[in-house]
Amino acid sequence: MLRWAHGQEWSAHPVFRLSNRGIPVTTAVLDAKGLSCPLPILKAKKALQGVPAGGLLEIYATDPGAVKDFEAFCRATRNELVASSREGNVFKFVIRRLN
Amino acid sequence: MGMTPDTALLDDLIKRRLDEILPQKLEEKLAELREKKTASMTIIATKGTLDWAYPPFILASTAAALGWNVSMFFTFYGLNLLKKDISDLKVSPLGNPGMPMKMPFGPDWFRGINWNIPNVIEAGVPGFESLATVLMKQTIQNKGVASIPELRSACVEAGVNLIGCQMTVDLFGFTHGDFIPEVKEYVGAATFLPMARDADVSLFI
Repeated sequence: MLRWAHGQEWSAHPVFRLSNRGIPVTTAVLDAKGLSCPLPILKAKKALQGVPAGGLLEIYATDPGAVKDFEAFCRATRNELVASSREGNVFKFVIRRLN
Repeated sequence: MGMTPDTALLDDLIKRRLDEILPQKLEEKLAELREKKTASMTIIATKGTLDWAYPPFILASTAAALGWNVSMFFTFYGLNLLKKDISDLKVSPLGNPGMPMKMPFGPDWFRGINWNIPNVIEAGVPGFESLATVLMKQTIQNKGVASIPELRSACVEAGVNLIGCQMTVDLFGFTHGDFIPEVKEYVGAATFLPMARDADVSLFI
């Protein structure tokens, strides 16, 4: 399910967050929890198409393979993997769309 | 050959200098070209069962998500994967000792049992294949693995080039109307091979 950060449907207004440079950044959120390879990547690719250049996509996943897969995905698609972290068995990735 | 000692010396110098510089230059240039070039992959899909439908569709959809150009050539039983309705693909445990036989329901200790069912039962019990398929589909759903129709749609959406083998269409008595309209063309080996030659990755599955 693709949602904007404040829980509205994907087509609703984006949420604006302040980046560390104080510039508002559009953040979309993708919940890929419980999905296995290659679904998190396929859904992230799709979600990124709706993110404006420079915008962020937050992804939550439970597939342990996603850690390496998102690194490779960002390298191959020339997007920036801003953060990759883990809390319990949920992995969180933040991707900045560069192209 | 009419060379003066001077030109011979010069030639020798140039040759030695080129040997020094060229390998590094070439490597840099190749890396640069590789970086710029869009990667491509061709896959030959030859199997028409539920389990063997996964590798080609997973690899094709993922490669497309990475921005690669992908072409899939469906031949023999692989042509099954292009049919309009692929929700009825089956998996057979018969003669497949590599397939774990575990139940997708019940308490953990029960799910952990690997049922070692003899071939003679798998072959002799009517509907055994259908039962195994139902259990496999339940396992796929439980584990959050994509369904085959879902993966194929992802390929279609991402613009993966789907190609059917015309010889197989004739051999098995199919018509083009049996397959999804997204199949771009029905061709033979002579069309596929040059595509495979130019691809960075080419797989036979």
